[in-house]
Amino acid sequence: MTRFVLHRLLLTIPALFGLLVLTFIMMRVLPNDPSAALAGENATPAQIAAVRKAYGFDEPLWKQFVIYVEQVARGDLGNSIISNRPVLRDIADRLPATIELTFVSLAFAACVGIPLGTLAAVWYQSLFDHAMRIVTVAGLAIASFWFAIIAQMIFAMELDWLPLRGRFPEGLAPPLHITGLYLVDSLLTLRFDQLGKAVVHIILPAFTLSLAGLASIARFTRAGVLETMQKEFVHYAEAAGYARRRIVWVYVLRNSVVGATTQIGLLFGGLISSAVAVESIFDWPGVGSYAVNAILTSDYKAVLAVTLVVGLIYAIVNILVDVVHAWLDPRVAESL
Amino acid sequence: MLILKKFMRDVPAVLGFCIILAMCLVAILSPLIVPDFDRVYDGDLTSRLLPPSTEFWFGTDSLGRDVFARVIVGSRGALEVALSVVALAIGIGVPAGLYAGYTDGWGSQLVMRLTDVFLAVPQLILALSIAQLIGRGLDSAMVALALTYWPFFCRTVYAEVRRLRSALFIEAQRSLGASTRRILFMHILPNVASAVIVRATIGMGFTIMTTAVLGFLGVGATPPNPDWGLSVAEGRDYLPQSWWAVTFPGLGIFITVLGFNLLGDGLRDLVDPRLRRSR
Amino acid sequence: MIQTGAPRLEIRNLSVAVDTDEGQARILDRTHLKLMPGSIHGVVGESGCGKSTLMRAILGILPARGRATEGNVLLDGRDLLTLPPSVFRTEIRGGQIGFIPQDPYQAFNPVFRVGTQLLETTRTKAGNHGDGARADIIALLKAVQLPDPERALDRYPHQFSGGQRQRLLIAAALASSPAVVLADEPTTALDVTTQAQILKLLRGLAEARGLSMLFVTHDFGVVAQLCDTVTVMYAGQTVESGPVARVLAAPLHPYTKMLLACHPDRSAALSGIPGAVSSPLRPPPGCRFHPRCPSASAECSKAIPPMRVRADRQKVCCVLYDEQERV
Repeated sequence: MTRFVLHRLLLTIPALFGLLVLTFIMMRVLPNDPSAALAGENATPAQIAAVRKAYGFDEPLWKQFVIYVEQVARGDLGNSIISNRPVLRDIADRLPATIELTFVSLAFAACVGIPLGTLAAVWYQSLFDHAMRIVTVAGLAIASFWFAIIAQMIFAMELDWLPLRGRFPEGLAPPLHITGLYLVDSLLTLRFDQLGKAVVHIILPAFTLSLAGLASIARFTRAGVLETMQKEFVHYAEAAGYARRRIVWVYVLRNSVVGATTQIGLLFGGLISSAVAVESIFDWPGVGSYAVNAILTSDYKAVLAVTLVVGLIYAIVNILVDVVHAWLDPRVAESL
Repeated sequence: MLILKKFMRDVPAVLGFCIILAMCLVAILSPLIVPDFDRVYDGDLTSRLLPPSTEFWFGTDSLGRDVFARVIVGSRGALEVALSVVALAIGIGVPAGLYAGYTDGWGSQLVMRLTDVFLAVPQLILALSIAQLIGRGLDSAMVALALTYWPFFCRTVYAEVRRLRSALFIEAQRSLGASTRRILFMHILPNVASAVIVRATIGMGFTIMTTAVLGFLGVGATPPNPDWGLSVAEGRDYLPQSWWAVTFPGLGIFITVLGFNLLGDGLRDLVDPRLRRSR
Repeated sequence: MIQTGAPRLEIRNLSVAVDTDEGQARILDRTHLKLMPGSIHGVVGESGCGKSTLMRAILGILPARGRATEGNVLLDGRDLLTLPPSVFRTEIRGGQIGFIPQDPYQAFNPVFRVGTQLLETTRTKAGNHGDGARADIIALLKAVQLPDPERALDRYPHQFSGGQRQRLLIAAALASSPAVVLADEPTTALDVTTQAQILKLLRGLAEARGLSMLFVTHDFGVVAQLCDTVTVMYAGQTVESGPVARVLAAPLHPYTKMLLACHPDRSAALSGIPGAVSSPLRPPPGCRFHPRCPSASAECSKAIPPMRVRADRQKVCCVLYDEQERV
């Protein structure tokens, strides 16, 4: 098993390295000479040249790349034009909000999607199954930003059941910062009033974000269960007298889910992508809305930093998914 | 024609095909359908934010423009953009996949590592990153999207070529003295083509969706382009009273993407029963 | 050992039909057989003769569009066809009836340990939980001569060979001390040497535990090695039955004769039976073999010949033996 994990890690390194190269190239593609910007508005050519020398912009490209890699390794990804703080700090501050949102959405999508998909497969060709198929295909066609706006309009503006934006009511102090995840922190400090507020604020964004994932999970769970039910071991289990409930919800589901874990990685990527717009619409203080702001203000260092960080997280998630897959299906681990 | 008959039995797929056909017709015939073409770009400020009526089926937006007309013309833009992006992605991805699949050695490895790099980041993030570098606007958005989508075509083609390479009949052809080029064209290409078509159909839907998101975020189409995503962004400030400016462009996205998804699913079931997901 | 007394399992006049898009397929047509206590009864026939459907009917897992149209399946006198599905799940399958499947390579779920799966049947039946069940299974694994039984339970199916997996499946079938064991051609997927070992094992277990086993196969050779009595089936009908020695030495029914003649051990030349098995959608009337039978007459298509008894409990359904004593 450890061999498998190491092997998997090894596979990721070239891709991440390539990403570094890519971001570096993107940085250097910028027409404006950074040294001019750094030197300030009224710098003389001599001052600009001095800046250029100090930052190493006059060095050959490969040397600059090495410097870049060193900087990234140290965590120095530059400063944001807007906040004037190190970009990485900005991102680190906002990361818990995005993690919380993504996690709640994924959990909801899985908890609802897997049973729905399984039932649709068990009740194959029934009315429920047909309805599910239509609903899931439709769910994948709904633009999340559009749904977010409509949901906001209906539930916040018209009905006033849920808050319009934000993670927490404005003006109130948020839960004590232990993990940065409001739901967790309020539980840990036993402030159930804060928990309630945090929950109410996360409902709309998380639900919006979960839709596409829910549809996707229901679809491939259904496909997986249908395929598994055809297998011989299910026929044998029935003939040998296993309890029906166990056959479906333990044996069949496990096999189907095992096959489906590889999809979770892709799903996560989609989730991050959708989070950008959703966070922006709900004023959710996460990395997604940060990226949108950065783009609109041409804060290119921030954008590139987000790209790198997201790439790293995505790689880690994919590795974890593969490890879980190997743990669930012992044949995978041994195939190496 | 057995395949056609089989396809006709798949109701959702046929529905998808009809939707797309309808959308294409609407897009092509838009100059005829749209009552007053000027109202798409130049609004009459005296008739701002009018609700749907017999004159303006979908109402008017904040600049007095006919929402129905904008949605119709927007469909044309969406389809054109999606077609261009997918074509570009195919143009890069398919040859790369063919090369990587058919050859061994470090060239093939390099191509596949390259796809890993482009797939290392979720597509929208990468598209945003590239787009903001090249400059904001529809053209750069298109290039960015093509650059994020080519790896999918590359991988699909690579997998198909690898699978077919080990097929015995290719060996037989080789032993009979057929040149590499001939093998490629006569045998591999037809098989690969069907996989590419399936992927392209799904890609059309995905591109339309992502273009709309980019338009919404302000990184794609720019005003006064009747891009659906952009329209939603523009109409957002006038909610909840003027709901029509946001609802109808969104419906346009929904119906078009739905059509491509349904068709793509149907094509996939048709082409490769092994990949059956929803049967 | 052939014992007298009431049969443990009796099939009386069982007809099973399945609805298909092209009409009703009458898979079984008034079949009958008797499984006596402590004996191994073979069911022989070509593919498509309905042996699998027969087993499914006994186990209560006919396909969704299939059902028994007439007849009885009596387990110790109790008609299984009248039982609701829930009883099948809780008492019959994995309880009173044990099942050994055909393909040991496909029967196990690859992502679960073998022990979990073997203990599954004991889990739901009343009374047997926890360590007692585990110890029982280990004892069974020893009985089926599986090496290292203690550690075997914690391994995964792919870590065992085909023959070993078949032994595991046999142990699973015996776990609930069933009244009757159904074996669905369990040696077909194995190589000849392993096949012989498994057959020997089954014979030994049956004698040691007094099992009543129904052994379905297409191979008369296996029947000769393993079974005490045999029923020959053709196209969903029972054509002949009796003690194995008698049926092999002096087959009565034309089909049995031709089937035995086909077996490579029996004839120097490769022979087959001319014609093809009829479709269950449009079966010939009366005896379904008559279109291919060299001794057919006009009588054959009138009705299914009733069963006649000959000496030594050998029974046959054929108009050729009409003068004999009726059963």
